[in-house]
Amino acid sequence: MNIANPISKPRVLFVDDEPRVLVALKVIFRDHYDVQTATSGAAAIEALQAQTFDVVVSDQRMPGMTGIEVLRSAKQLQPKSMRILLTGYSDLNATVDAINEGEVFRFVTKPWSNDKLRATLASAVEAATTDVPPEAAAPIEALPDAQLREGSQSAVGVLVLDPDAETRTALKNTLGRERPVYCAASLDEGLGLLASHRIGVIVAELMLEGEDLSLALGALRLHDPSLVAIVLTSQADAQRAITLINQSQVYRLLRKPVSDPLLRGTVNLASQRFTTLSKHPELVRRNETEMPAEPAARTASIGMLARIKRLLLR
Amino acid sequence: MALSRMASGGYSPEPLFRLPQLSLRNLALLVAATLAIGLLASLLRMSWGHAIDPTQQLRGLEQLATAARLDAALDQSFESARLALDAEPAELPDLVQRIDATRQGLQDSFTRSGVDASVSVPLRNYINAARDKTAATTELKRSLGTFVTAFKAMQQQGDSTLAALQSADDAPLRRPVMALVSAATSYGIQSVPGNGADIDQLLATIDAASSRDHAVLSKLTAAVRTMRSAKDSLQRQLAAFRAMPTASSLQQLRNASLDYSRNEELRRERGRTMLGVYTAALFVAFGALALWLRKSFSDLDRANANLQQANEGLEQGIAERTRDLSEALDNLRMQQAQLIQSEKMASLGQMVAGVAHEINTPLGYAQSNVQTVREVLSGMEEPDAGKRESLDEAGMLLADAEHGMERISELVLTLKDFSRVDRSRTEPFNVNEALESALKICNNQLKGRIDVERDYAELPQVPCAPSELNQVFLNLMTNAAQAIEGPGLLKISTCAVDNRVEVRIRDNGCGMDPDVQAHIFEPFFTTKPIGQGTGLGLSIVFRIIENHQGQIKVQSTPGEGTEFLISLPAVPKRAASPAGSTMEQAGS
Ligand SMILES: Nc1ncnc2c1ncn2[C@@H]1O[C@H](COP(=O)(O)OP(=O)(O)OP(=O)(O)O)[C@@H](O)[C@H]1O
Ligand SMILES: [Mg+2]
Repeated sequence: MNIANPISKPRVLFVDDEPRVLVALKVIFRDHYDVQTATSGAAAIEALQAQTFDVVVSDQRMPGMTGIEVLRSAKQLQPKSMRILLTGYSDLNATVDAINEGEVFRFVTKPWSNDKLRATLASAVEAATTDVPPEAAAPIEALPDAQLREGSQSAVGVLVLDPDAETRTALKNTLGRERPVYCAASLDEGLGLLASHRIGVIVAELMLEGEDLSLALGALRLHDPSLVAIVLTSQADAQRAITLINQSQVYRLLRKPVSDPLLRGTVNLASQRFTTLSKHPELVRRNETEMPAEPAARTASIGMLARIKRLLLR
Repeated sequence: MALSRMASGGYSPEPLFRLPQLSLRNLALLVAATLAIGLLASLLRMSWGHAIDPTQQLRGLEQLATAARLDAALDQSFESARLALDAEPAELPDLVQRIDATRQGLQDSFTRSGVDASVSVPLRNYINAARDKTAATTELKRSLGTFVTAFKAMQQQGDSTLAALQSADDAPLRRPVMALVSAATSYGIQSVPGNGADIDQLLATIDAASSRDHAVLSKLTAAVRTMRSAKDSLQRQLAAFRAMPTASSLQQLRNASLDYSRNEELRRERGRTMLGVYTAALFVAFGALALWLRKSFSDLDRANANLQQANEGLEQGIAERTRDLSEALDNLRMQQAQLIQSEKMASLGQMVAGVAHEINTPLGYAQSNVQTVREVLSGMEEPDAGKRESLDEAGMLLADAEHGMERISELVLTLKDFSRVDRSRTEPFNVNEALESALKICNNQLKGRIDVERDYAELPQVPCAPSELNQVFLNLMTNAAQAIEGPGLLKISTCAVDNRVEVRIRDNGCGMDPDVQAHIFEPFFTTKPIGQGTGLGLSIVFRIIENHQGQIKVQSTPGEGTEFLISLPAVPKRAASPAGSTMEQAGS
């Protein structure tokens, strides 16, 4: 349709069980977008089956179907569309699911600011213009060794960032059979490894020697946009998870303890993603991050970026 | 209570001896004591019971000697009477009487001193013999009389015969007659005459010479012969009399008596020895008993002392135990209260999460709509003057609405902070800095009115969410400032204790009574007027401290002030790379 009518507006689907929210959003966005609304998950899926959308914005808590379920369906039905969660409810499980299952572009909390939401939607629509190559059905289990060696991702290195030596060793043992694994206990050490090896996937704990990595992961991605970050943490909380979505666009968030097959499958997926991103750099725009809203975090983020640049270019 | 009263009442001694219980042991002791006393009595009896009176014994012996003397005198009396040719011994009646008296006395004294058979038999023998002997005196007296008469007659006849033989023819006869008379006289006088044959020969001579009838001569020979037979008979009787066993029986009695007393003495001697030995044994036994008693008394004393000590120990132990228990109870109560508090907060957290969503949704569209309307209004071009005014007014109203909604969303954020759902990140942080920044923020509440006294120690870093910690201190300081009316003092001190950091925030404000203290950590508990306090301050503080594995305690006296003590676990030393310095570096 977009191709048929190049000057037609981008189409956005808003899903919320509260019609007044939909009315408010429609008023804000109708001038610039072709706004469609659905008051339930089922209605949203119907709409998704009928039309293509550039962006799907859904509430989380709805009767019948959660927002994450809606977004997961949207991802399957229309991989090209961008997904945003707009919710007043932000517990840890919801945010983690938003990352792992919804692969959402943004996690926006209610009440929202119209201006910010406009910006968010604009960048989502922008990202949605990039074509998505058909991604191979991702095997969640580990690939057979032979396939791994022949496979294109065989050389993708993994950087493990964890303060705990035992965890590092365990991860190295689990992942080391399939690909090179580099371990670091501090960010600086990790950056050194990043500069000297071909690394496509980072498996990181959130707190590293007192440093919060949730911003650093985003900064790293700004430097090397193909990098795929997996957070493996025992310190997850909802607020951090939201940061990891909006400011770092991490690929997955796993909570310790994690089973070996899940970890290996996730790393396999991540390295596939890295390969895809390396081949199609324009896809990186789909994972564009936003600058932190609070000035302190913004400074920290910029500072982190500067530091990363300095270390990597050394 | 009861215990301590009992103990303070002192130790009431148990009676040392109770009524004897007839145990086997006591019975044996009783029998032993009876035997010991019986033995002692018998020994005493043996030593002293048959005491022989020495004077009595002496009298007995004297009597025995007297009896012997009298016996000999009796024998003698007849001999001398014969020699004196008395018809009867002059002293005989007296002798017999004395012998009888002595006999009686002997019998009396021996019977009285209670002799046994060894003495009484010879005594009876003697008495019988003595009685027989005195009885025999009558017969003997008669024989003596016969002899004396015959002897005198024979002498008379001799004299008369000699006188008759004055004639010459009788001259040859004269000599034999004279010889016969003298022989007969000596025969009569000698106690054991040996001239019987001479007499027989002389008699034969005379008989032959007087073949003619000589009347005188025949008279003489007849007299001689009578005398001789009388003498022989007397002699025989005397021999028999002398042979009577008085003396021997007396001797026997004496010996028996002596033997008896000697035996008696011996026996008594033995008894005394035994008594001595027994006494010594008893003494030894008593000594042992005394020692044993002393020992058992001292044992008893010691046991008593121990008991008393144990009593005191027990009392002390019980007091300690009671204290421990009441401490444990207090702890338990506190833990229970904390648990209840935690649970309340957890459920409140869930509720808050739900409520937050429910509020955020309408708040979301309301706020959005207000913004939209404002945009719409500001986009309106060139309204006329009248409309301009009402538009401005509408703008103002919308700004108020926005302000209200901002307030609501802040409240929801506070509520969310308070719930577990949105826990924020932690990083090592210096508590002193957190206190300083909190002081800066609430400066306008303290300024000029309340003096702040700081006593900061060097502290290890505490892993925390700095914003949360700030909130904690800010809440506590705000409360302190609100508790102080007029000028006052706020004292803030920190110290490091065993890898923990302790913060004390103390004010000299109004303080709280225990009733208030019991509730201050509960959400929505406030004593402040509506609009001034929501009652969430301390419950948020509690939640945050709990999330940081810390503890908070309060100590307060109404009218004097309040102290809050917060204890937080510090960062283990090795992981101490401050994030702050990195940020500074980056920011420059
Ligand atoms: N330093 C203090 N001195 C005396 N009373 C205090 C002190 N701190 C707290 N309180 C008592 O505890 C109550 C609860 O305190 P809390 O901070 O939870 O709520 P609040 O101060 O009343 O309201 P809010 O903090 O939400 O504005 C107070 O109302 C007050 O009665
Ligand atoms: Mg308060």
